[in-house]
Amino acid sequence: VSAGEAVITLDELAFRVVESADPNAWMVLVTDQQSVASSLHAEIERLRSPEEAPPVVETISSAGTLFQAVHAHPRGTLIVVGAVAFSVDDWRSLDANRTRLMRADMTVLILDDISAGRLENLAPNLASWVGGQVWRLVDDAAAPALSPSEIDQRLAALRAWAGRGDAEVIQLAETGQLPRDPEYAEWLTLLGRGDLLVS
Amino acid sequence: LSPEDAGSESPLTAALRRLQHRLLVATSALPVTPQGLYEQVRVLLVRAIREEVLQNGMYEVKKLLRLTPDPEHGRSYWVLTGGPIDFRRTAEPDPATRFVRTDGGIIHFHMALRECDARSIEVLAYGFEVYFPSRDPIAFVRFDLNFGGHGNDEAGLRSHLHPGNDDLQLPSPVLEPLEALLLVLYGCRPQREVARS
Repeated sequence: VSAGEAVITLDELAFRVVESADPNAWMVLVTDQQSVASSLHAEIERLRSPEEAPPVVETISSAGTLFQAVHAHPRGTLIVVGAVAFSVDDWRSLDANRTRLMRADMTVLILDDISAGRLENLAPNLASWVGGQVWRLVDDAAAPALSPSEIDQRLAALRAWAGRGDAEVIQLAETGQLPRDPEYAEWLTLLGRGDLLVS
Repeated sequence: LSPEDAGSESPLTAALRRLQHRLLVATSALPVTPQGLYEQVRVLLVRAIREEVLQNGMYEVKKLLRLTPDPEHGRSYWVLTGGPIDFRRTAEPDPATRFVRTDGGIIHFHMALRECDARSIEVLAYGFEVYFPSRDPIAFVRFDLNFGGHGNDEAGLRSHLHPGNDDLQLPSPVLEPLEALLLVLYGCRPQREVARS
């Protein structure tokens, strides 16, 4: 396990989870925000089809409670939070008894840097199940805006389409003479004159 | 047509005006923020990818789906866009740069939004289009909602459908954004394909 190399956004991670078809697939998500479990759960819920089992979040405190969680949920996506508090003995116990952790579907372990390192060093066999599926969560803009160059391209396309310039479009809108096609609504908004759409 | 249609405007114009009013009041509630609507649109596009309705990779959705504020009226007016503007409809169906259906149709859309207050938004205008560069089975289908005021909304055509011709407008229901997106994603197909699916 090599934590910190690959980065992923929450929605991309959820997509990987719902698309995974491998039995006993394991994934590690490295983050300091253990609360991300509920966000990941919600995103998987949005993406899954009705035929797919809903994901389950289990908060565990020791190797024993992880064994219990796996036993209770042999199928479907299992998101495990709490393993950051595992002791050295917990990790060694998990590694030695890893066959009891085998599941039919995806298991996501949410760890921080320290516990991801412990997984690698103290539970190498379990870590081999994870393989390269170690991701560091990154924040991304929830709703990215058009870049300045993308705005320029759209405005250029609108000018070519209408055979009009920005100033003319604003002047026509101010005097109530602008056609009401939706393209002009986008145009005025990108020019900073969305207010003219409702005046 | 009723007797009151016989006024200063033509009976057809009056009838279409009444139709438009009926269509406008039939829409249901929207998400409460532009970001909420963005999320709903994003999820619908990702689900279409999962269901192999779109060819795109999941990672392309956020590259093509943008929510942009009016630069002068920051949180009041927004534009939500999906894919680049394509007036010429000649683009190669490249999933890296366009939303591309598995049947080769290219989808692009835009809508102008107003954040009325902290708990409601209004769709001021929209355009949702699927087009086929090969012009088969049709050149394009587009659902438009013009912004309000004087103009063809008075003729009952504020919300309209272009069936493959920019000069042809047919009255259309005012659609919620997700309904319009569903139609250009999953609908607008030859009946023989719909029957097979």
